[in-house]
Amino acid sequence: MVLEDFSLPERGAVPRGGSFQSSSHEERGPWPASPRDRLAATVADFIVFLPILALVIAPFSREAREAQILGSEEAWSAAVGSALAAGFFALLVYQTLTVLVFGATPGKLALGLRVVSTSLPGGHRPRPIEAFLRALFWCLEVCLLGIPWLAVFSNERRRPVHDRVADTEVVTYSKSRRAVPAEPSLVEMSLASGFQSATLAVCAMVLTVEITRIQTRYASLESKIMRLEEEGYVCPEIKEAIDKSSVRRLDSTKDRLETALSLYLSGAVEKICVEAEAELALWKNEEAPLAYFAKAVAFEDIEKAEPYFEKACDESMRGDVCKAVALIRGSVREAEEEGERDRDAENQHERETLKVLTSIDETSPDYLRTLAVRYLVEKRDNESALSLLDAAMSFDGARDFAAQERAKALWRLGRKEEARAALTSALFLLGPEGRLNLAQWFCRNEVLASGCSSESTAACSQVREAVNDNEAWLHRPEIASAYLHTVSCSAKEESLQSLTERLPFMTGRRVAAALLKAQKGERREAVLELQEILKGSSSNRGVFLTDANVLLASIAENTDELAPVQSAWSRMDERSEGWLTVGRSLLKNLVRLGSWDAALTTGLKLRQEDRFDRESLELTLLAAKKAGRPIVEQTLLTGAERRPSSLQKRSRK
Amino acid sequence: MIFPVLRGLLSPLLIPVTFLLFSLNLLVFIVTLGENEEGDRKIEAILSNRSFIETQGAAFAQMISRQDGASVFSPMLHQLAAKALNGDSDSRRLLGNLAVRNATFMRDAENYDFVGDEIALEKWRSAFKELKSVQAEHPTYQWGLSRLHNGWLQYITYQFSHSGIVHLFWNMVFLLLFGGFVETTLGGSFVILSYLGGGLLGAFAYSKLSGISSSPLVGASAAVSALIAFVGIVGMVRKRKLRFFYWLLPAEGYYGFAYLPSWLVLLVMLLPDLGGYLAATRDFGSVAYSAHLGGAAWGFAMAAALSVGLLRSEREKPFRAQHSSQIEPPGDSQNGPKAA
Repeated sequence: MVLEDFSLPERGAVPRGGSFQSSSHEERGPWPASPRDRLAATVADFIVFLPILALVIAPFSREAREAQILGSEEAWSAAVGSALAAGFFALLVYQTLTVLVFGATPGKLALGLRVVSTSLPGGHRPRPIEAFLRALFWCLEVCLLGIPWLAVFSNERRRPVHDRVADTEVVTYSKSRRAVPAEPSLVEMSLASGFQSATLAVCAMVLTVEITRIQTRYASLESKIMRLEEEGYVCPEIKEAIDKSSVRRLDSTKDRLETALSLYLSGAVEKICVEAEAELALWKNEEAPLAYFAKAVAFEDIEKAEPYFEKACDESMRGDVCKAVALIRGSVREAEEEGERDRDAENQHERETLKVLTSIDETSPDYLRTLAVRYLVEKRDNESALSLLDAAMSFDGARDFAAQERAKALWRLGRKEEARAALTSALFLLGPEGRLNLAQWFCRNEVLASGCSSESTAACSQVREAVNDNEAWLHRPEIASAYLHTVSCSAKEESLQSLTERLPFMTGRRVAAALLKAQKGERREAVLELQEILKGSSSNRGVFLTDANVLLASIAENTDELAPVQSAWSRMDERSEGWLTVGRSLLKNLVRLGSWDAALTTGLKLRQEDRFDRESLELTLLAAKKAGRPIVEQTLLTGAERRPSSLQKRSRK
Repeated sequence: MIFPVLRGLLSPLLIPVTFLLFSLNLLVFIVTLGENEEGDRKIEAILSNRSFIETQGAAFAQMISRQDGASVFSPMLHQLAAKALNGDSDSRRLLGNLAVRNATFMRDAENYDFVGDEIALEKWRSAFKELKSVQAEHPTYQWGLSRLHNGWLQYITYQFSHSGIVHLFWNMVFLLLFGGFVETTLGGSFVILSYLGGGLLGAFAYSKLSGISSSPLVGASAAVSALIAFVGIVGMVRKRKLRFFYWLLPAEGYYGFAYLPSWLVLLVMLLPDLGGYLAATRDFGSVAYSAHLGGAAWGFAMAAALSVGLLRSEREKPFRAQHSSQIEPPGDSQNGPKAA
């Protein structure tokens, strides 16, 4: 049994007589204590000291926890620092006092070890200064994770640094338990002290690095904390936008909400920013209607949002918030009806929202205009959207949105030269992601509408640059498709060949393969491949599906080959942009193949959805003439002029 | 590591009183287990709803901010509330969870006039009502000591109810060890006196030092603390050793059994409670240190009474440092009090 049975005769008093140098030393002891015993003694000391330590640290630990809860880093660091200091001090006192009074710490006592002074003869208890020095260095070694204790192996008398500094030694009076080094092993000694020095050096270096790192981090943390406290936890983009504006204020709930809404609706911030602002406003009981609206907009689930919409606008249809609610409800209702479309109900909603739209002008808040533009684009009323966009939007995010939508709207209206000019100025204005988005859109639309041309090169080169910089962009389907078109227009077979493997989308790879075949002149094989793709796809959406359709339409040489495109088109969602692209391509190629009746039907369907496309109008008129249907011709022409757009009229004022 | 084993786990024939207490604890646990789990499940379902917690957090923050001074709510809560109202969602969620433990909130929230997101508040109110009704029927709330139930009955019943199998296990281990030791040396009446007295004084200390909250106080820890303190102090006064199991190193000779001074019991088992109490943050923490301390105080008082002669054991067998694990022959129990 290692631990002393204390019922045995007390051995606290150190026996006198006989110094270390005496010849009978070998028989009577004391002998150096074995390191294993000392280790066990440290463990026992730990058991005894731990509760005391817990007590000493208690108040600081409480402070630390409170600071952590409150998220206050400086207070936490201060509390932890104090706790560490208090713990160190307590350990120091423990070691010093027990050695002074009992001649050993409780753990050593339990193992039958004693600390004796080597400066006094006869195995005396250490003097106060010795006890203190020993304890001090012992505690410092603890701070270095106890590595310096390895020095216990560095000499025969098993005296590590703290023993040598303090002129002390740890001994046992039991011969069987003494330390028995075989011989003064030089290897053992140098390993121990060398390892120790190396560890100390490494610790010193690590400490220096850590301290510098903490200092720099603290410096930036401080400023970050100050900023957060100032902003009250709003998203930084919102704060930036408000700072840049001369009229908006950060402490005005209305300004913050409107800014957040406008940035979110133009895609510049995440919905969590809007949510946070809305919650803030609601619980402060300010701007309740706008706040309810903002919260509703942030919901993805329309059912959850509906009660909030009602709370946002429960009186007559006045006020900006009510207009915004009407717009969202208008576009949502259409999205809901996936199956049969009820045209009468739709027209009714259209008239209501039209009333709302007429009241929106340059003085309306940005978020409302952004919402109106989105609504108009969805309804394919690009003229009205354009007139709204022409008035300046005040926030960066909204400005980017406005620039992109202007270029796209001009294109959709068929004013291609203006669109390209708008594209150039927009590319100048936008950030990298916005640039890529716009370039990709234009590249695809140019190529799909009129094949490879010098116009398409401008936009497509942006796409190529971006993808060559960072291939990860290819994981976005629109960008991958735009890149595919860029490569195919450059007519480099090897690049196209590599794309058939590199593209991350299976349909995309197959379209690339078909493109390659077409370029090589294997037209029939390309047609077969494309027909397979169209047959096999289960969904009727998808970027590459549009590409496949357009490609097949352009290389088909008879109506049989074109048939799959027609059936695929009939399955597509008429409200999607892909539907328009494929439809126009279909119309063009049906006219090319001389299939007038089919072309006329296609053209009429397109006309229903897309009122202002001149090119399709001309092609449809041609088809009508060739098919011998002049009445239709008339209706088409008058229909085009007669369809009113009160927004259009108003903007001409 | 050291662990007190004293006389080890003895047979029920030798320590009937202790075993009675043990069985009561076990019985209560088994009987309430089913209802406990169901109640816990329902409460968990309500509290794991994110929007419920967030709304509750905002509401709690509002209630706190409208209260002047730090008398009702601690300064830390006031700071958290300020952060939450300023938009910090972490503080909000934290307050939402804390609200359930705050007696003032649980009492006033149902009829409080909150101003905010009306739709979310409606949903929160109905869920909150459901939470309160589940709590009213939950065994832990019925047996334990809380604002909802704080009659004199609860001061006794709380000692026999536990919050989980681990809680029960450790309390029973120490009850059997220390209670068995006291019973075989001094008699069963000392066990009952320590247990119940410690429980009562512990609950009283809890109500004075920490305050009865809306989270119920349960457990035999205070009662067992009394037993431990009693053993430790009597042993110290009489300068006796107690049997421990120790483990220092994974080498032979460095682990085993030994007779060590009694004050180690106090150091290792009771001092951490004092430290824990001083370190505990108000409104947080799941261990009722103040109850342990109250129980220990009772044990101290009993030990003092025994030493001055106010209490006397009819067994007349003082603690003896025995080097074998033999127990006194059964015949001796005739001299002791009639154990229940």
